[in-house]
Amino acid sequence: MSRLSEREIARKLAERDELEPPAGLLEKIKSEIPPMIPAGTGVPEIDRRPSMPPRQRWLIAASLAAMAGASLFALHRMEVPPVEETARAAASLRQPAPPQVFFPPPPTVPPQRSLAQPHSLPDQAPAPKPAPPREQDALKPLGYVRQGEEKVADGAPGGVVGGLAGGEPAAAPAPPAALSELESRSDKKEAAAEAPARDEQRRSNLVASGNENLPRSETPAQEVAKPQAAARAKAAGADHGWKVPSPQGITLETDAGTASYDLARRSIAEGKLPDPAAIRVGEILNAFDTGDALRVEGAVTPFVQGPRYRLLRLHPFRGGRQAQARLSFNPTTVARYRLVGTGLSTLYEIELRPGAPSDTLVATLRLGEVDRPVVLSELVPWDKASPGFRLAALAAEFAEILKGSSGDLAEIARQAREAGQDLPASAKATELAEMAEQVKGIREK
Amino acid sequence: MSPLATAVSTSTWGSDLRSRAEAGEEGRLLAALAAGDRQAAERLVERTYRGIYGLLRRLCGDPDLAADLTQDTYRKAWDALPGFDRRSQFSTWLFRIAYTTFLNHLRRPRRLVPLEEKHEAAVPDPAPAADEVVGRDMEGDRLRRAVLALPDDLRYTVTAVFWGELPVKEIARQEGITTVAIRKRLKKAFRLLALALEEDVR
Repeated sequence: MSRLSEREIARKLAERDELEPPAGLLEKIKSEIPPMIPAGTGVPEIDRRPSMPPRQRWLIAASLAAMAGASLFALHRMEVPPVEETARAAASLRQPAPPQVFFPPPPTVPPQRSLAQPHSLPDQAPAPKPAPPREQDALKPLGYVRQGEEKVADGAPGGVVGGLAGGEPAAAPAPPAALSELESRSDKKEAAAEAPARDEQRRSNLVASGNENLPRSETPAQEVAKPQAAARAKAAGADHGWKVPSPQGITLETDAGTASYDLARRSIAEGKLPDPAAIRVGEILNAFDTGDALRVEGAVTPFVQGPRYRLLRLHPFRGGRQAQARLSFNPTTVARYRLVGTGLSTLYEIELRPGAPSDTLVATLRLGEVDRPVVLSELVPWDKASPGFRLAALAAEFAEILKGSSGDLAEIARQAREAGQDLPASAKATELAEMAEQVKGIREK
Repeated sequence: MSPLATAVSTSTWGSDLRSRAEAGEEGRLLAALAAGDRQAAERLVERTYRGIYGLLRRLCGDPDLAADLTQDTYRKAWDALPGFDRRSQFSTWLFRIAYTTFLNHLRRPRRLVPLEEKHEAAVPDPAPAADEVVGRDMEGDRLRRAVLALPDDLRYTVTAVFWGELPVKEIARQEGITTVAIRKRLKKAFRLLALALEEDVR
């Protein structure tokens, strides 16, 4: 027997049989009414004002208490120097890790760079450390390729887009790896003494991000202002969605839906802007997914908030393969991260710590038992990023604009058309460009 | 609108509207009762006793026992009337007394009547179509047993909404929770009832 539906149960419960009281019951009850009912003077006037249920009152009180607690905690966190935060994370990182997980060994101190020393360009950047042969073999069937085995259209090494340019943290001297730097700091006072300067730098990144935007492909060394980035940071709130890396890592999920995109496309075709609340970045990403299998790449983009910001794209799943993917950010390199959207691929915006050397580990992606380290030098400038990456970044930016952020739709359209020239399925790029132009037109009306 | 919302709104929408008018009338009768008007008490009984009997009849499945419990309910109500704070309607308050009276009856072992036996006894002999009546009665009895087996809060909510025909708002006010919570209770109760009825058939 199939289970009864709610409606059927309700119907059965609501069935009215003949339940006529037996004759004489009314009289019996009436006869038992006491001659004097002490309801009289004690009964107050009916108060029909809607009174708040006690549980609701309790919930409101609990919410207020939680809000107050969260505010105090946030205030406290704002006062904590980031160095301490890093030290804590680094300390937990130093604890013995499971044998399969590995970060590049921090003690290998890269050569010191001076302030005047130019940043390494993509093709000059030190190559990511090759994985041990056994792991390379394990990575290969998963779609990862070693550098030099395959060339992609833009000339970057295949599989992982390599090289770091223009967006490299501005001319700060490259210190030893932050972890060993922290290890050397036995005196906490020293760390605290540097904290205000770091705080200041962090604040300047957050507040004045409009003055330190990302390099355009034409001027990779120059950080040019982007007003919409500043406006977005302001609108979203400085720490909206940002998290500090933790050793526990993040389990990546996928979402194959495209409902938001379908909704947006219909609305835009009708000359209306879609409801911002209905837009999910991941679903817009899916609509413009280029089907890159098993890819991890990162780059600066024209849309992130400042020079130390990068976009990291993870496309860890291939054709229905759903091995668990976990991502760990290296807290000594990544100051904080923010999930931009999760679809078939996942986009993270990350803020790097200043002065991180190019061969520092940024994150580790673990697919099943295989680790895929991502080093800083793999995060390339925008024009060196794969067309799939660029299209995904543009789609995410477009989704953010549909959700109410400010942004340059004309620039999105232009960049999408450019990306389309390098894409086999250029129709998607063209579609994104056209949608961006349509939205721009609707907004200008 | 979900089936649950439809079902609840269908069963309570009319009573919601009705309850507003009745609240005013009840208020007048209670005021008269407070002034010593015994007829007001009689009017209150006339207005409410069918509903109370119907509820108890559905709860216990026995017409005679339901009549006894109805009388018990009013006796307790007259005694407890000084404590009635009038934050809910009189009928809602009375419903709660009837419900508690029934539960107290169940908790008295000497008077506990096995439901299965009562089911046998409740089948009328000269029914127009005996098999149909038996089938319907069995189904009703299964449903009744399933409702009685629900957890306390769910059982009270189901009986108040469907058998007591109380407005959802009134129940929410009396229970000190929101109407949304009441609907959630109903939804959960429906799931449990569906399971129980399904198992019963197997």
